[in-house]
Amino acid sequence: MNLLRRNPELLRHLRSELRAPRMVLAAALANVLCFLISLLHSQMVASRSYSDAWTESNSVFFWILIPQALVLALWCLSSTTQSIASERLLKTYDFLRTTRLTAGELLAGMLFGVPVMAYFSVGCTIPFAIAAGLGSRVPLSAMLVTYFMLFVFVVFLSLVGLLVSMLVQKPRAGGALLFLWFALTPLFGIGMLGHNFPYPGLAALSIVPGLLPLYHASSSVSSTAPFFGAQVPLLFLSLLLYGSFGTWIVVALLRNLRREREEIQLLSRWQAIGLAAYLNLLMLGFLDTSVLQDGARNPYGFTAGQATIFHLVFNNLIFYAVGLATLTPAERLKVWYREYSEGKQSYLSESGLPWPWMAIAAAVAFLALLLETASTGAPALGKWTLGDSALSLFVFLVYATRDVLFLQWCTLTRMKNPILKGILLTWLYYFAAGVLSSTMAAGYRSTTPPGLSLLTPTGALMPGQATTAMFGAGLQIGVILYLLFLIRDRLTRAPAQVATA
Amino acid sequence: MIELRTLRKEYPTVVAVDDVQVTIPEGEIYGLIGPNGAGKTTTIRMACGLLSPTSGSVRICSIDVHRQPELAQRNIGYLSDFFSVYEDLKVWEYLDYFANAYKMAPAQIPARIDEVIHQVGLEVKRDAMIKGLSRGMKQRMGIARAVIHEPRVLLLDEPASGLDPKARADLRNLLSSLRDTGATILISSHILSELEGFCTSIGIMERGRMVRSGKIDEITSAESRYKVVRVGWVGNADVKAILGALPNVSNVTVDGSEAVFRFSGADEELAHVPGELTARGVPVLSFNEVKQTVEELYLKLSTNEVM
Repeated sequence: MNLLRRNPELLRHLRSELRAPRMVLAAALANVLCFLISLLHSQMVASRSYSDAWTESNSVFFWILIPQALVLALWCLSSTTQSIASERLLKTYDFLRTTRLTAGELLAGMLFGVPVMAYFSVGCTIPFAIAAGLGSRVPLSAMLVTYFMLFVFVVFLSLVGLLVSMLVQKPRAGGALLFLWFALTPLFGIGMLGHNFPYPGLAALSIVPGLLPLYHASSSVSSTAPFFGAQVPLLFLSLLLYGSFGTWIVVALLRNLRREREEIQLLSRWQAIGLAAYLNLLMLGFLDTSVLQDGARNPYGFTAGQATIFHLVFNNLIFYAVGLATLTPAERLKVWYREYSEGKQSYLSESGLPWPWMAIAAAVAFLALLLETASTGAPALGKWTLGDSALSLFVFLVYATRDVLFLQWCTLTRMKNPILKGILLTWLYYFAAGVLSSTMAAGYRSTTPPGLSLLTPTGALMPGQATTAMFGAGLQIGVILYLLFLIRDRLTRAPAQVATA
Repeated sequence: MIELRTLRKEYPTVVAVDDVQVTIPEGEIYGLIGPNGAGKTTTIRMACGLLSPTSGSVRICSIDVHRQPELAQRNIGYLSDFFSVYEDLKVWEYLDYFANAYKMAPAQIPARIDEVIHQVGLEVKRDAMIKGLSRGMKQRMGIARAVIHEPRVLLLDEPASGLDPKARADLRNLLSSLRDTGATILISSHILSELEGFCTSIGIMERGRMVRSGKIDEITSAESRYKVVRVGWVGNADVKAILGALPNVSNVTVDGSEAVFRFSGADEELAHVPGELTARGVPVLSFNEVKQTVEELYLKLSTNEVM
């Protein structure tokens, strides 16, 4: 609480946002809106055009709750996504960085201060909504839990917004992506429960499935999911997911908030490996082996083999996450190379190239796969032997390493926004590879053209194409060596003296 | 007080600051001059801890700015060229925010805010919203923010950029009063007249390198093999001929009853010149050395980079 009590950053936002006239106006507008919503609701119920029977689920409480949640989430996301980037643009952020505020104080102040008007506006309507809910016999405890979970969710969204804002150059950049993610998350969460998915706990990525049972809204939705074999309420799993993911974001923010944008490195090497291990452990905890083993429960759902594919693809994403989080700023990499050449630094240094750490992440992924296989009590997951899985992980690692080294090379060039441009070029490569392979293989009777296995890691997911995938990986290792040569060339180039304007 | 030790900043393709080594003692007003892009801003940003150096270190009041940033910031006040202020705060709220952010003792803050507001001449605007202030007033706000925690070192990067002549004069007076309070000031500018008569030391930067650094007088005397002297008299004497005949005197130019000449001898020998003129029937009205301006010194020492 010391971070919030007398926090100057929080106080600044309170003072600038919550001026009396604005507060009165916001509170009045919010409550007028609530009144209009309740009027509309009562009219629809009276005309029976909405529902014949009065149930909790069509209470006016939900008619108010949904706009509250949308307004709060979108407002928090929008304001936090713009906060740091716009302060950098106005140069006020430099002044913040030259004060004695710690990264923790800055973070706490921004996290709760930037969207304070959103909290206030929605907060003003909560008594109205609760009164309406009580009037229609909605349990008070359910409503309070709902608001608590909504608060947890928007705090997490605000953290994501601050992280994006710290990374982007322009205030509005990245906003669209975040809004898309925000829109899809609830659907994703509900979707996880539908088809005997072997990781049902991932439904807790959305707070909605966990809240539905509180209102007896859907008896078909399970309110619990297995976590390391024990049935745990989805609400607790939501708290675990948002709490732990939020903690990782806090780690990245605390590490970088006071740094110049060009000097940002999201996580340290070991933190990145810790993240990879944590995510694998989480997936292991969420795996419902009974779904994989019980054919009667799973007639058309996921097979053990598909669960392995999920694990492999998930770890491929982790390799990229580790690589991106540990990309070394160009200047530090140059210093590292100079000192490494003189024997003063090791190749695995914090300021060195990220690829060795991606290899360690692959080892962690394989270890998790071993544990996953052991947890099923079978020698292999479906048709996938451990050898197949190791081979696939290797192929994924090779492609991810190539792409991350390409991004690292981009940072050493004169490119503006090198990482963003590098990512776009990588996407273009995969798109082009897909289109070219499909065109060349027109008429070829295969679901995956062999060209695609040579140029992308897709062959790693099809044991039948292992040889092509390995050949493709071999080619990519050649590309990796060439990229390492290019990086070394950039690092050894003597920089020009500054040119005067 | 301010120690820049072999400070270097490399970007992927250029060296912005190349092994700059400067020590600025307490109470000095050090003008960092040079053309645009010479590395002045990068140097100041490294000095105040905003930018990490590629190598080298910065010590302010014997504290390493990059190793102990929180401690070092207690002694640093920083102001950049073009900046914004939080428009939706009142003047006193803005200063209160920074006073708290610098972790001043809460009991001291209200009095200090009033003191600083008085110092920058914004008493009548104390409770006004910042968005209603003029550019010059906002610049004063910036100065007030930079000094609210009574820093021992002020790092000012082109503080007069974008100000009109009146606001510049006000800023100059304000900085002079801060100098009088004993603050050590490092100020960068490419408008040399801004620094005239204000700095006690200068550093000339070009292409990221410190070309020359030291006290203005020392640099002037080290660089000048002669003094430029102006003499005024009454009457119609042929002063040009008289001066030209004196030892160590050269380049005599006469304009009406005033002459300017170069003197390459010692100060003791120069002291005899008025007497020589009087002895030759020239009633001397004035006799003084023409000090070199910072601009002249810069032009003499720089390698003719574009200004």
